[in-house]
Amino acid sequence: MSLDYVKSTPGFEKFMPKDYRDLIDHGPFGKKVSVSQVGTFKEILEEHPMCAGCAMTLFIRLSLIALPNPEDTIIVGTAGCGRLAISQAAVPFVYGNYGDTNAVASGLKRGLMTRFPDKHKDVVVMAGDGGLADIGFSMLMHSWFRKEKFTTIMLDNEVYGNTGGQESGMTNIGSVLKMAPLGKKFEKIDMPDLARTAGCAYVALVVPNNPKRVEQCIKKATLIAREVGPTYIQAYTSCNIEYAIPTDKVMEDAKNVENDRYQFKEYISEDAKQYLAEKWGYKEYAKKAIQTTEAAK
Amino acid sequence: MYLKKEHLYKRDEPYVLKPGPEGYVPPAAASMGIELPDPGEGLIYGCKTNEDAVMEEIAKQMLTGKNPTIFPGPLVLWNWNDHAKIKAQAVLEIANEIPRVMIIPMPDYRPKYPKIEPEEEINPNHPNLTIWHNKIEVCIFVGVHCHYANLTLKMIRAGTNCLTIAVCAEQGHEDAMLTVRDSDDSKLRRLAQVIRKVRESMGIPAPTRPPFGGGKREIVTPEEWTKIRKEGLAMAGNPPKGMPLREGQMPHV
Amino acid sequence: MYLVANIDPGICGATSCTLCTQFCPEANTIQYDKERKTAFVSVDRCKGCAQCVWVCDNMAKHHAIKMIMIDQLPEEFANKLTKNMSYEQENLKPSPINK
Repeated sequence: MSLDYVKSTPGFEKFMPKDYRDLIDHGPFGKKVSVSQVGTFKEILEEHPMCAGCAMTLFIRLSLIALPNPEDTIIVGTAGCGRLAISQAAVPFVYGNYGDTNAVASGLKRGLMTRFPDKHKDVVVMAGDGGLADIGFSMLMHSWFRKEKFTTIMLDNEVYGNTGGQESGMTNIGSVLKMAPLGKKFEKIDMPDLARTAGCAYVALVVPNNPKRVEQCIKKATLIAREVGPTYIQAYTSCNIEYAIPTDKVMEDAKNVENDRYQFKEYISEDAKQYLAEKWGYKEYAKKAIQTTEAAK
Repeated sequence: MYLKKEHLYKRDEPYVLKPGPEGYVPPAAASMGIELPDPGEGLIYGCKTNEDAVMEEIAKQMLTGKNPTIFPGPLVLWNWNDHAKIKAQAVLEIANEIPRVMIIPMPDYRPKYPKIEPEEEINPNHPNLTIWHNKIEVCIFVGVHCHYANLTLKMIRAGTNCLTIAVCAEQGHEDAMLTVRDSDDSKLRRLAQVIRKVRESMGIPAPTRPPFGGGKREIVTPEEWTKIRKEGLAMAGNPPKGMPLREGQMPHV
Repeated sequence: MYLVANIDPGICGATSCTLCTQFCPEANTIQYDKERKTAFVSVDRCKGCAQCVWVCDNMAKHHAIKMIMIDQLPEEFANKLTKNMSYEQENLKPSPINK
């Protein structure tokens, strides 16, 4: 498959602005890039207006690097901080209305499957905890029940950060926020278990203080969503404004939260394991490897 | 308050779409009774006119206006099909006929915030910055998707005195002062021929230098430009095999 | 005046762990110079969050990054603006064909 559609037309190459020329010549399109090579190639994310030291930005940056085929990916987002950065990236971005991201993504994916039957176009929903777990909850759950083949990534900052600090369903119990002065009264929603019950083929819980792991999760989730079924990643991306974390302590906070309530968890269905092993050469999921680990137990 | 009295739509007089500044929130041309042209026609300041007359007016404006500029959009800048490839060459052919023309690209529609270099590139979300910065008074838009042309043309009419020309691959654009419709590569080439004819009749010498980038910076050397032109002419003579050479509508394949 | 990150090429070049390039929330801000084997900051993009300082001090334990005032930059890094930057791309492998 030629990648001419991410190159400029002959004659106009020199008239393109520098960042586009860099993207064409040194970008990740059609190449295998990993987070360890960061700083030597042009990233698809551009300069963006998000707060200094935001962990959500870090996660978005890492996940954009980790996309297996960025030239064939469409990202769906919604209101919230995340779209400030995602909309500045060199991948098509669809701005769903609040709550309907997963419905939009379902239609988009079905349309792309009809329009491009010979290749995969990845659809990734990247929205906040409010957009997915509160306002978009019904659309999110129904897209999973219908087994729609796309990836959903929750940027969980445990607060409505953009509107001044209201509590969301994902806020931890007892948290006192600017717009929730009495503290939250009920438990954080257990989205990973809900996702598993609703039929996701891959569920992961990550914190961005391990870039390699984030990369692996995003890669697996996008690949599984191509053929097996819906996938879900939940990432802790602290809001350093609403939770008053000094910017240089953001990673320390991520580490503490990882030890407290965000331990790395990963669930892969048997079908997905077989698919990864057979189609993409993941050795750890090959049948023999599984049998030997079971025998060892 | 911002809407001047003469802009209010009176049914007995047709609305004339003039270069701005029209003030904050200009009325949409469609709401003032301006219709899209029929096949074979174009719009000239909001009036349906024969296409040849529109092309001649485009030529005159581009040759006499201050800082003429071509704004190519994503449909011609990216090599997404064979038609885009030859259409891009046709756009460069137009640029080759206009002395001291600038080519300022609009590669995509990202919000480009906070970083934008208005001199080098135009962004549909704040096109007035580029127009102000380069003091452009006449410009051609080509290969911009309809929904962003809508936004861009209105913003330019609102805040600048720039005359806008939309060379559209679909049905033309009523918010541009001059527009022709169904512009595939052959129509773009015809426009280049019309510009050449008008230029010769006005006694303006052929351009001696290649088109500039934003801010009248030299981007290609004359040698490179000759090479680009040569390749373009070769492509126009024998288009690539299997190319969907369709008249009219933009091939969306 | 405002603070930006500054990487000591001497300390960084000795280890070249590239951790800070992975932890910076800004895209293409901490770049990696392959020839000198050191990371460097393209200062016009740095927002001064000092996350890289924490990473270098506590995770890598190299203490190579300091926050300094923008007008105190050593000359060589002041020249490394995004506008003048070239990407020293490694030989990246082609990605698996998407079919």
